[in-house]
Amino acid sequence: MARLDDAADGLKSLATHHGPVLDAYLNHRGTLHDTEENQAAIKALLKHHLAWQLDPDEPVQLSRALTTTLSAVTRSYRMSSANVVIGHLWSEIEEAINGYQEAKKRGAEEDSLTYLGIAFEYGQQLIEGLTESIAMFSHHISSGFTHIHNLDLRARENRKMIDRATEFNNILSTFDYQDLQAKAGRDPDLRRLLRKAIPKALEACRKELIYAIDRLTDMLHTFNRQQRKSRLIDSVLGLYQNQETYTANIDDLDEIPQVLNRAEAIMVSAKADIRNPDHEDALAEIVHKLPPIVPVEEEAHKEEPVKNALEGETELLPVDPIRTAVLDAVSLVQETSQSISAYEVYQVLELECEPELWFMTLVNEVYGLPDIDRKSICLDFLERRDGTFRGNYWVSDIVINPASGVVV
Amino acid sequence: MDLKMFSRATQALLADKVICNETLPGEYAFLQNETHKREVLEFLIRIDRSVRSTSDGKGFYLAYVDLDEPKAKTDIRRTFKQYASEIEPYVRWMRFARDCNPTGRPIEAGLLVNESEMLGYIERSPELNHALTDLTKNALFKSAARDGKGRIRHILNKLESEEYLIKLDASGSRYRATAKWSYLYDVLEFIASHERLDIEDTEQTQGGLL
Repeated sequence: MARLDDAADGLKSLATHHGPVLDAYLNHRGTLHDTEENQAAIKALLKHHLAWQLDPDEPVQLSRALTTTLSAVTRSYRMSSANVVIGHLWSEIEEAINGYQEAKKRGAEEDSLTYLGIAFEYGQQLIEGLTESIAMFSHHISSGFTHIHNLDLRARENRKMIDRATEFNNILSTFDYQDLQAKAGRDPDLRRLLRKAIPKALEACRKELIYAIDRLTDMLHTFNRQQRKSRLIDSVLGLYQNQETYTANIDDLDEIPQVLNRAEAIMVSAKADIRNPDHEDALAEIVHKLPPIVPVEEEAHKEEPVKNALEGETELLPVDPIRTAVLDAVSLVQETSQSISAYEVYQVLELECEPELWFMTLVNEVYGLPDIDRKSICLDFLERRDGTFRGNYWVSDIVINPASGVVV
Repeated sequence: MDLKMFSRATQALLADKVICNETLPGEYAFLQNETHKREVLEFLIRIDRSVRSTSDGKGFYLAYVDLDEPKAKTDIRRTFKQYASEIEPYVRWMRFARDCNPTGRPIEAGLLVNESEMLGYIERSPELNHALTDLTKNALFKSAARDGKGRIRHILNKLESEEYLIKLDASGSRYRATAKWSYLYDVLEFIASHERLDIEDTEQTQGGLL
């Protein structure tokens, strides 16, 4: 039970001090600096054996158990900083191999096994790191940086990725196979790591990296071409915008540039040869498929006197009920000199139209009133500004007021 | 050699078509073969004509053999004058289409043009809606449509009738750009150089050297 409680406490302290722990792991190569803010974290981590210290004067280091866990959970970060990680891991492997060889020389069998274990662990991490780095480039190749809308920024991101891939390739080229061979010597364990596992992973990584650089470069060329076209569009359009009467003209050129060498159509529609029996058959087939033509019957002309329209019956057009309601509302305001709400009028009269149409008709009719009537009333809009398009307003009601001098 | 394809490709050239993979894929593939292209050229040379391709290689079109020939010069000047008078609305449309593209790509041969996607952009942006309205005031794209959908549909139909776009489905909401844009880009490059416009970019030049 005590073990369970200890473990739970350890995990809790990790959750409490995750900030300093991640900072130490990501930014200070596992060192927890002896600052005031880090004191609580240092105390808790030391207590749970999640950190260690050689000497009270020496800095506190995160334990290997913790860095391994962090290495797994910060995979995405490691992908972006793979170059640094690979370089670091290789130096750790070299140090472990030196320790292994030194321990073997001294006959310290147990220590040599510890160092060998460390070398293999880092070797494994190195291979994993190489695979992860390639995965990052593959991801960008397949996505085509489409998560960035702006073409210039996309090209910039592409360039950055090419730089990173090139830098990574440079790091890979620093791995010297002869040096690896020399380091492995005749030791069967080291030969397994340095002459088999690591070179195999390096070779696979190098091949994929070269392919990735090629693809990224192709993509950049495409972006560059699109950027150029985009600038061309803006520049030529600028000519028209800066000079309203601008038209492209080649009258000043003595020689016509090849790019404008385009000939007019000279294809003349072919005509059937009615003397050719083959054509005759084809024509007969076409004629056969034509729809029958109904002869048009000519209408007999009858002379009739022209009707005088003034003598016709007068027809009265029904008055639009919405328009009538507007005129009534306006008259009411003029007669009573009191303000009324257009929306209330709409509700009371139960007009058969949407409120938008009612408001629009009201505004149009008021603006179309004879000058003397127009000046007698003014409109107040109850409105609010649209949250997205700041120039637009939502009108919820219009108050029709008797005019007090200013017409709105 | 496929004589039928020879005939179709040559006739399309003589009819002033820009042959590309989108409009006439068979004829385009035929002309991409150097031997076939030479055969067509040898035929055209007899009538003082030639075949040229756009700078990006995506389109073939009919050209004159000898540009110094006075008739050719006069014809080209006349054709260019007519063509130049319509460039502005096309370039305005190119900018509009680029701004309505989800990846900001300028229009070019082979690019998919999606009407509903464009509509989404103009509904979200009053600026693009305004640009579209302006475009339909131009004589080339003149439209009495009262909403964005009608205006876009009208322009796309016009571009289709001018063979700048081809319809991909019966509903007419998806189109593919043809190599007529490639030819237009060549003309724009000429205008930019003739008017001494600076369209180079330092950052891009460095990237291009990679």
